[in-house]
Amino acid sequence: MNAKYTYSSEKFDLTTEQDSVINSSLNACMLLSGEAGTGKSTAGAFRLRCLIEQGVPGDSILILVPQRSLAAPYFTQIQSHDFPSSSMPSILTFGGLAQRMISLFWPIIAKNAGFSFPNKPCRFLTLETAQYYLATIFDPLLQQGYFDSLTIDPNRLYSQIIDNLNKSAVVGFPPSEISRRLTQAWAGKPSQTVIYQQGQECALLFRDYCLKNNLLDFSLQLSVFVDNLWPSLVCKEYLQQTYRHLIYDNIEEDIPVAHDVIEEWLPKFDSALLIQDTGGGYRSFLGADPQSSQRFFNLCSNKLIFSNSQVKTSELDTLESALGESLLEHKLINQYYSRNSVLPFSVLSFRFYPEVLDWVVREIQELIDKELAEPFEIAVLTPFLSDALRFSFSARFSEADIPFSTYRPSRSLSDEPAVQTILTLAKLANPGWGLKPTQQEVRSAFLGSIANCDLIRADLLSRMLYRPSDDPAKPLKSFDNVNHEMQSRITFTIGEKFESLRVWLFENSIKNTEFFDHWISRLFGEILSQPGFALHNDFDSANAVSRLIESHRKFRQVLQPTDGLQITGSAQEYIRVLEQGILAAQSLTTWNEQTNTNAVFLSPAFSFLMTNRPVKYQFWIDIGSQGWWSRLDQPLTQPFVLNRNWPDGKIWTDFDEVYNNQHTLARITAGLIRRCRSHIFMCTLGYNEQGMEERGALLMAMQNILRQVNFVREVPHV
Amino acid sequence: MLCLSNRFTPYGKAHMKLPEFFSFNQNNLQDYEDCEFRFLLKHVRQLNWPAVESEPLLLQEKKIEIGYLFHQLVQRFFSGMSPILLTDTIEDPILQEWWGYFLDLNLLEQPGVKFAEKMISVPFNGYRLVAKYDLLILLDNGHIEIYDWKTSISQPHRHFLIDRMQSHVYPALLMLQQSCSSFIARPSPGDISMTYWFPSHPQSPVSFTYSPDQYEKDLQILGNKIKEIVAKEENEFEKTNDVRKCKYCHYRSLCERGIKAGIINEDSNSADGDNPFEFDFNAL
Ligand code: SF4
Repeated sequence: MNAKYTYSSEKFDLTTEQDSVINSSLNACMLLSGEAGTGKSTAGAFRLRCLIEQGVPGDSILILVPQRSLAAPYFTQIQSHDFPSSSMPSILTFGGLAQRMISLFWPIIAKNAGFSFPNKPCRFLTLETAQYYLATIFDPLLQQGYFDSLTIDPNRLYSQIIDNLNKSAVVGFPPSEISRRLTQAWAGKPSQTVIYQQGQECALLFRDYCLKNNLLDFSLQLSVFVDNLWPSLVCKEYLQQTYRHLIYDNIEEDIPVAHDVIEEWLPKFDSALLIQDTGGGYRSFLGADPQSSQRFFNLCSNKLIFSNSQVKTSELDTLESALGESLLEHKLINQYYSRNSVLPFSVLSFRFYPEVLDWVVREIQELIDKELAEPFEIAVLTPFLSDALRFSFSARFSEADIPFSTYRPSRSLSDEPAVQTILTLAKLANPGWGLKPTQQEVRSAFLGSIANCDLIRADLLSRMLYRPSDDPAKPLKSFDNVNHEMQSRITFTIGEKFESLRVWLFENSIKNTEFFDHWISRLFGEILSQPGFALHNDFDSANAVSRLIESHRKFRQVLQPTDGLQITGSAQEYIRVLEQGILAAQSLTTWNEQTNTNAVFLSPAFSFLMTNRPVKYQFWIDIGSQGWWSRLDQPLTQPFVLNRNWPDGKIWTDFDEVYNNQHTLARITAGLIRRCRSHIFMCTLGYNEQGMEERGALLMAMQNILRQVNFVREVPHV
Repeated sequence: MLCLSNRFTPYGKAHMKLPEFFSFNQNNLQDYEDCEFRFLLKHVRQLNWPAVESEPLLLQEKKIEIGYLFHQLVQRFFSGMSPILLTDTIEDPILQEWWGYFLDLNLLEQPGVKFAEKMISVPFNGYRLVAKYDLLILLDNGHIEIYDWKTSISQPHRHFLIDRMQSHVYPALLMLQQSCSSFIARPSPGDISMTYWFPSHPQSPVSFTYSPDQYEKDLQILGNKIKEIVAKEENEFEKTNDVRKCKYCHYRSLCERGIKAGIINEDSNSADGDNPFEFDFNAL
């Protein structure tokens, strides 16, 4: 199948550069590089189409991306109504490929991979359930005084231990080396090395527990795939026979072990197109390794570079250069601006947060009304997106009737009001558990259960009818016990619903044979979502309850028979760990459903970069914030040391910290500018969300630029 | 992506807009067939409504699990794993029995090229139509056999099976895929046959042979159905008149169509409740 296929570039408005990639021969091995916005992924998506139109079966094509959000152009292509008939290509992350292969070949590799019960099925842990098991291992050690020099929420410790295991898997070193690597790079007090040692001990105990119980967290999935499955003949042959063509996008955002496997696999593909975003590497803290991806320069016979941005203007190009220089040199060495320069940015100062929020929403309204901008062409970007900030924006956007969407990890389950309501109702239905809710919790549960029940009525109901001390087996009294005057004050409609709820709870304590998630489903369907109850038309709450059910289902499915928890015991244990925040439910909501909906996008800058979607206008909120610059404080881990590029034995110094922060910020701001078509509004604040004054590196760098702009404008004409 | 639209009424007046990346398939078309309103809630609004679909829940969950495990075993089998090794991994006696019946089919020994879990997507009337085939066997003489594993306990009547949207979509889509140069085969309608195979009733598979007439009819059925769906305003998606369907639908409370979920009677031969099309294992 070597016939040259000529793609209709005019029909699809493609450039000649893109054409040359799309129409390359069916045995081409290409590396395509270029800045964001130069049309590389579009070329990749049309290459996919072209392959299929030339007779390549769709399911022999593997599209590999480091993060699912980066696959959007390929999904769009495949789902377009004029995409040819075909079997379906696989669009996967390396982790997804690993999990799929383990699922398929489990019976073959379980024994060699060291699992104790190779004939029994394996269970994949979510981040939540991994944290749960880690906590069960960890808690006895905490009692013994482990980590007692740290004042930090244990949940953050769990996540950092899991993070270390993940780093060992993505970089490709054994978990037993975590502590040595961290210790060698540590320049501070020697007591820290004990913490690293203890962290490693926990990690190894957890790994051992997983192997003994057929459990696979993300790190073990990667290790089993890379160390056991990929080297096995049966898996390698299966993969190499199934996938004959590769499109690997954003290679710079992927992990080194993925690069290792693809390096070995590459010669076996009939064709390959690898795409690299120069200047990328935003996922470095997650193990992405742009340096490792450089190896493909030597491995691909055709190298192509796209250099013309289809997105940013020359003015934005100038801003990118000036800002990069200002960030890295702390001053502007070159002359970027002249008297007549048109500025593609504005810097606006505000004293307090509410002022900036009001202004942003007003400005967006004007852009939509006067400039006829579509909402989806606007992104509001912050270093982090707190719940408070999201709420403040959402209230203002709703009031102004501006559609918006946001991209962030979903709220912790235990913070969802509907979830709190259900947990309280479960405790009321099961007084035998001994988990007595407070009167305030019961009041909130009535408020969240009965339609049109306001705070005052909910308070009255809870004060008068929640009497756990009278009869612990029946903590709720009947509405009939309330005098007539009070009944009419509460209203008979609310009273009737209260009675239905009370009777249902009394008659439906969780049975020994019943799963908690099944019980929640019944409570939701038979009571809370019925007419007259609060969730009847509340789809957001229904969604939160779905997440709760799903979370409990996953939790009990991985519970071991050896854990000694009966079905009901699992409910109590689940509530305990949920309320302790161990099950933080950091599940990212599926991102792809509404990317192209016509809504303003409110997001942390990093998440915006990972959608890889240019917009016309960007708003950068609080550019003075240190959040744009400094990385998270993580006492148990260090993403830049647990990395292939960090020399063995080298110490991480303050200089490295500053250097790294500077370059990360320069990379992120360049990435943002490359994804902007027209104008960036930058907002500075006198006082941040916490009421503090901040003058971070991004603000200082922008001030250098403004000084040059002001200087050239003030110089009189000669 | 979280869209903060908060509360919205399911009876929007706006023109219905299918979600991004939407494809028609046997499952969503059947939902439309059963209840237009369910199609709107489930596939357009993608509304999570975590109420019980049918009781007893524990039995339902067991059915889903065993169905999933059966599909997984078959997939492993066609990926080249030894049947003896696979047999060793089975703990459930029912699954063991089903697996034995499956092995008795001797599919590997039968002539023809086999494709397991093949997913095909075709452009159709301005939209996409997708099907995932449990097994396709392509014979030298151009004949194609479609196999679909149905892991329900009861077996519905033949006419119930033949009437399902799956029986229209699967063979028609094999005809439609021929338009592309990466076609997997070029059958004429008479070359296609389809078998619903029930491991719990291994001796009574339901098979039918396709025909040019049926293909023409199916193109009309599918085309008209899709045309009808996309032309509708949101408030034109009607709730079903057959309230028995609501007993086994988790949107029951939202629609004000009852409180408790319907109970599946294990001995019943009726297709209500124990519906072999109920679980879309392809979506797992
Ligand atoms: S409950 Fe009945 S009317 Fe409502 S969506 Fe389900 S089947 Fe349709």
